[in-house]
Amino acid sequence: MKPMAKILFVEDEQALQKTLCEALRGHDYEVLSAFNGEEGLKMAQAHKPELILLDLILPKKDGFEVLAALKADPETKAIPVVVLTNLEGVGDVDRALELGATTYLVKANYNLDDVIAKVRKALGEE
Amino acid sequence: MVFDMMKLREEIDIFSQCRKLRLPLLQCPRLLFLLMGGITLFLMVTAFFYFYQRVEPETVALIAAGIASLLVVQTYVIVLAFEKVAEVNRLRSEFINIMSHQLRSPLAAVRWANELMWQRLKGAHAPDDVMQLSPIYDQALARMGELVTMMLSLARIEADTFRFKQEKFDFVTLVKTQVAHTKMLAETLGVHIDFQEPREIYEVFSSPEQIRFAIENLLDNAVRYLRHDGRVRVWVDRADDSVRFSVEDNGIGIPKTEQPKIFSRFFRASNALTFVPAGTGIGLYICKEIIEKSGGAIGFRSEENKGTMFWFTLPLSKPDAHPG
Repeated sequence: MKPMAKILFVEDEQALQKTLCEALRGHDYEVLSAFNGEEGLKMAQAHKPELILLDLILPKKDGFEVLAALKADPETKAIPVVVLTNLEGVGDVDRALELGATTYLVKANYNLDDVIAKVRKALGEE
Repeated sequence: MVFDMMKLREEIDIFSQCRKLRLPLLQCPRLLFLLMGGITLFLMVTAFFYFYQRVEPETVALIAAGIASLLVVQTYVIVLAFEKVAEVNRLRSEFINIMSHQLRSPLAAVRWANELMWQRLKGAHAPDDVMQLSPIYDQALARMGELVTMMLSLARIEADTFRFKQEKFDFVTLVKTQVAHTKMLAETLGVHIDFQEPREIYEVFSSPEQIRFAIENLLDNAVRYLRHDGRVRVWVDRADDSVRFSVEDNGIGIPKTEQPKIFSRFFRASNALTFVPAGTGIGLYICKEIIEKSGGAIGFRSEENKGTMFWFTLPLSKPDAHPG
């Protein structure tokens, strides 16, 4: 059986981390958690996940900086990044997409099943 | 011409106006204007009678200069008062913006945890009387999310930073989805919604989330302000180069004298306040902003105790425009 994908979730809110990680593990994904931008970048470089879910407002290094660093590094450039945030200004969306994010999701607008569907799409499973 | 005594009394009651703005009396722009205006008029009248008896050019010039200086000072004081009011408004908007944004994360966490919990309970074959509680949580959380989104939108409109990402999408599919969603609420209120899906495809260029909000708001209003045996009719048709969405009900209607204010911020018609006490009064204000920012127009016609029809138009997306 093909092993399920490894996903890195970079999010500082504990409750959101716990909930989404539980839901993803329920779909047999291997999930790694990072609680700040610096940690997220290090884990991405060390573990090379198949997908990164990235919040934008993060301690130590914000999501935009992490995204820029991921796309500048040849080792992590090809990893698809789904931004998962509550910022929904047009400027924020444009900036994230210009920096190389695959998809931009506003957490408040999606329920869990929708987020999982977007994850599967980003992984090319749908 | 109707002479509105109540409105006139409201305008004249300076102290009540000042209390509404929550400013100290001596910083209230209207009171300052009256005070300074009164002092200026007094000085001018005094100066006139003085000049009338003595024709001394130097004295005239000095008094004129004095009055001009006083006018400059009082204008400055009034401007400061306006700036204070504007600053208070700005801080209030910023507060709403920050708090709404901060509320979104824990709300999303509760929503997702709620979803996961009910999925697990269903999987564990929890009893029906437990599963029946699920929609209560879902609806309450959805409502909280909507209120937070509305507060955020309001803060952004006031700060003139209300912008949204626009894309091409199928308008009728969006309407159909939202009508199906509203039917669930309608059924609990014994209301029938009739939607005739058009055969044509109408593509528009806007934000699906924002237009969904506008449609949901109009449909919700149509359903909530109905008496028993209420009916709501929804249809979509073409109006020149635009698509038009219309929703009509046979509900309480809007009193004629209050219709000009229906799209104002925090306004709720007097009969609506009695019929449905809960309500923010900002839904239609935000709808209007969304539709106009999408290049469309919004309007209505209504008769009290007969019903209301709200409509809005959106420009149709031209082929090959807005490449993805």
